Amino acid sequence: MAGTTLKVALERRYRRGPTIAASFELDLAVARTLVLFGPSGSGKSTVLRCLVGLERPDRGRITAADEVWFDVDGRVDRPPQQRGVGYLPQGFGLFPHLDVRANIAYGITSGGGAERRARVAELVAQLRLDGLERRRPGQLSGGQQQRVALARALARRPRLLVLDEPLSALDAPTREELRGELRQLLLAGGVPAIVVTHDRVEALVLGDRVAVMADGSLRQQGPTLEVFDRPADETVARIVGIETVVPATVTWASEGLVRLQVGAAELVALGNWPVGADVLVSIRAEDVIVVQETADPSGATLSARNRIRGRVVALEPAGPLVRVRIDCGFPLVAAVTRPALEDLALRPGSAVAAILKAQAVHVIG
Amino acid sequence: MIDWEAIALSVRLAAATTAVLVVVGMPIAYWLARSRRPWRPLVEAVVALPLVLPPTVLGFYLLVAMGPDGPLGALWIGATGGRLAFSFEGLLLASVIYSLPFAVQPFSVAFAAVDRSLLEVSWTLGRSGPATFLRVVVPLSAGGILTGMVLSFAHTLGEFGVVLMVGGNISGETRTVSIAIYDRVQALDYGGAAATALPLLLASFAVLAVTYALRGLTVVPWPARR
Repeated sequence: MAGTTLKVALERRYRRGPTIAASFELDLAVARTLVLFGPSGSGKSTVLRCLVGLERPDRGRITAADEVWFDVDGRVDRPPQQRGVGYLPQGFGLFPHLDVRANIAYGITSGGGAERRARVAELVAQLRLDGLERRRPGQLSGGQQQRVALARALARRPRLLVLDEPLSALDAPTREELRGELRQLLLAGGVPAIVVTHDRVEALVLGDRVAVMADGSLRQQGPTLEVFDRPADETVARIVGIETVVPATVTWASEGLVRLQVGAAELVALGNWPVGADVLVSIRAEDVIVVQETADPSGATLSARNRIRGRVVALEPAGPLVRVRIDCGFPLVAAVTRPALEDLALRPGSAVAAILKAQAVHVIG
Repeated sequence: MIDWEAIALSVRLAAATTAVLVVVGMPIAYWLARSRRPWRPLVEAVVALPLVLPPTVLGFYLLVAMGPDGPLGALWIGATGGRLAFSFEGLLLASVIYSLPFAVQPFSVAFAAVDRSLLEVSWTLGRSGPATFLRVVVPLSAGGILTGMVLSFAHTLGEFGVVLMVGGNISGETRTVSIAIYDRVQALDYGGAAATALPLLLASFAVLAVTYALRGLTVVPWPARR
């Protein structure tokens, strides 16, 4: 394992600002994506720039497999040219004066002309850029630009891809369109990736693992759903939100409605997803209505209203509301007002039913 | 009766000055565009000094420095055996210093406008700093570089005070168009002055018109730093 691990432990101090510190590891042998997630100013971009070699940490050590990239004690600081990292900055950073082919070929510094042309052709085919070779970046759609940027980064066969807020410079519709595609491209690229983002949905869609940063330090890391589902402290909880986020599988689909298997429960949601698709379901706590359980077993019928039975696991005060954690075949979080809590006489162990409109069940592909 | 010799000398001087300024001015401009060192304003001020200094003041100091006993002049005599003041080489050196801001400022503004993330991407793609400069910064600054070259060329063609101080009036060596015209006027030969002045006026106008047309936008020689 040590032979393929990226180990990062660094500290960067700013004269009139925060100290940023982070340490994490990533296995470079598998093409997984680690998301560095946190609000603006939490220091995630600094960590990324230190990793790429664009900024110098004040303390620490960065090693990739058997290579030392940075070591303050050993006075090692490899320049970005020698780290083998494919870097995609915000907005992708395509060279506006070069066409698609020249952009992709830019970093291929070894090999003869024929070899370079072959590598470019290979990437053009892999990233579906056929017919666009002579276009300039300004003549490409957002999706095409994203694919060119990835092709250019992959051309050097990097051992790691690093993406700094790749989608945040785009307008909202384009961003949503590119998010899912980026996930597919990162998987297909066969290279592990680290993505910095402040967008929760981006973190959920792109990350196999997530590391949450706040106020300059790394607060929690782990599998994405675990971190989102079980935030380690209040800060992380605030950053990731308190919404329910669970994996689901589409079992039935018709005319804009889908039925989802979520843990042991079934939910109906709006959307057009193919049967068998693995998706994420996110539910805002405010959208969950909690009622006392009755004998009515209508939860299994297909209606635009979901009614699922469950049991209260825990009650947590959250300002004017109370957060109710319910086990209903999957962990569900609801938010109820204090009067409602008293009316329902909820306590841990109470049998309840949760009612969810189909449009409140948000499906993320 | 056009003074072709003076015109040829002026064009040669302007071309040589522009060429030297491209080589010398680009690194200075790049440093100014990227550096955050505390002494950057001092360098900027030195580069911009010829803008505000009367040409005779600049010319005077250059003349002293270039004289046989001056530091530059002594160095030059040691290296080549010839004198620096009142020679074409001395004139070239003076012109380069005098036109420095006209090259450096447009270069620097153009360089500063290049998105830094493009440079960073280039480095991660294995390209060195100089390679990145030539492959990314220069092509994306072509407009500003062209502006700087045209301004340097035109400014050198038209310079008078500095030439008078350090160049003198040696035919074929330091007698530029502006000196030649001044000479004609002093001799009350208005016809000769006009015959030499008109081609200069027309050529200058043509160069600027073509440059502006090519760029398709107004060139502000002194735009505010972004």
